[in-house]
Amino acid sequence: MKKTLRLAAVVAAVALAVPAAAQEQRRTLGIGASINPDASFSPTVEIYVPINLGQLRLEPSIGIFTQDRDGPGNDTSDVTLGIGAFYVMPLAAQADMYVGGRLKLNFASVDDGVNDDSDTDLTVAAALGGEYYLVPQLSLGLEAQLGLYQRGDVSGDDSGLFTTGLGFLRFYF
Amino acid sequence: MKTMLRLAAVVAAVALAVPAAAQESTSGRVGIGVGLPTSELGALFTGGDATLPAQIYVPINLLPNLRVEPQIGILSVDRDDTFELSVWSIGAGVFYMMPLGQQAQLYVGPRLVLSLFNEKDWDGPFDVTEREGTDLYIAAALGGELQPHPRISVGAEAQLGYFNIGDRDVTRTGNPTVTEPGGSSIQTQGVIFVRVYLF
Repeated sequence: MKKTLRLAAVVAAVALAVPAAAQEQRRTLGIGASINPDASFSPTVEIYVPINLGQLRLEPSIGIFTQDRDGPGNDTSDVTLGIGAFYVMPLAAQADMYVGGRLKLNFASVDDGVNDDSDTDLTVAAALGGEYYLVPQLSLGLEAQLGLYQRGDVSGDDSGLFTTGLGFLRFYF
Repeated sequence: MKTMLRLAAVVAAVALAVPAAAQESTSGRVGIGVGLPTSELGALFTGGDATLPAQIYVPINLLPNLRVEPQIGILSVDRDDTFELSVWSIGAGVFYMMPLGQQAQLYVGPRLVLSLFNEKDWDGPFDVTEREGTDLYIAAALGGELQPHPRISVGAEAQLGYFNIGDRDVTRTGNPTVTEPGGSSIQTQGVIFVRVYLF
């Protein structure tokens, strides 16, 4: 019985040791870009800042797209601020999986020279992703999302459910 | 005479040695690269006629910590006697390179691109409207690059850019030239890079 317990302890220690060692190699701060083939729900191109805090990852993002015409025509502005919070599960020395969610607020405004309007769009998504580290400073990743969106008057005044997939390339300092 | 020859030999040796040393430490590479926007929004369009065509890049590692990267993009459309479009853009990035281990490096710096726009639209055989103008794109860029092989790298670049859309001079056959006002745009952009170093 004691031998079995010892064996189980050793196996457990090894099983835990690999992810722990893998995680020790992870850098704390990085910058990333997502590859987004369908921009239907993204009025801006977002830049991500992954912050690894042990098994917790926080990933703020920002995207900006403004248009300002000197003559007649609409001036528009979209500023997207997002935050992702994830539980990271090391799978191997070079691979992690993560699960969590993203919350995004898009501040949209339009000005036609006579009237101006502004509104806030909301996106909430559950996310499941994987990340493979080519080297400690660079990872490739994929993320699946199931989300809800609510767009204000400026962006179309609609709401619904969506699924999407993103590719990620992240650099760590 | 011998002294002069020796001096010339020393000067030549030093002149050749400095580039050689620089080349060793920077991989001494001149390459060619393509940049893929990370989103369909990333084509740098701002609506209307302002656009930057897809860019081809020429990374030149001048010093261990300095890269100059000229870029060029051309878009030309010619529909017989109905429509012509020509956009030529040329620019360059200047980057401070920071090595991250053996195979990876980070870089930071500006990009500046000038784009020449010309469009002709035929309403009839003798009724042509021509629009032309110059646009300017300036961006702060932060990127990373991994070299799995000394001659190939993959990387990503984040940009915060300002796009100035120049006024358009519009000339219609038989009419004086009028000016359409331009505009501006601020954009975050992501670009995935693949670079091949040739020599």
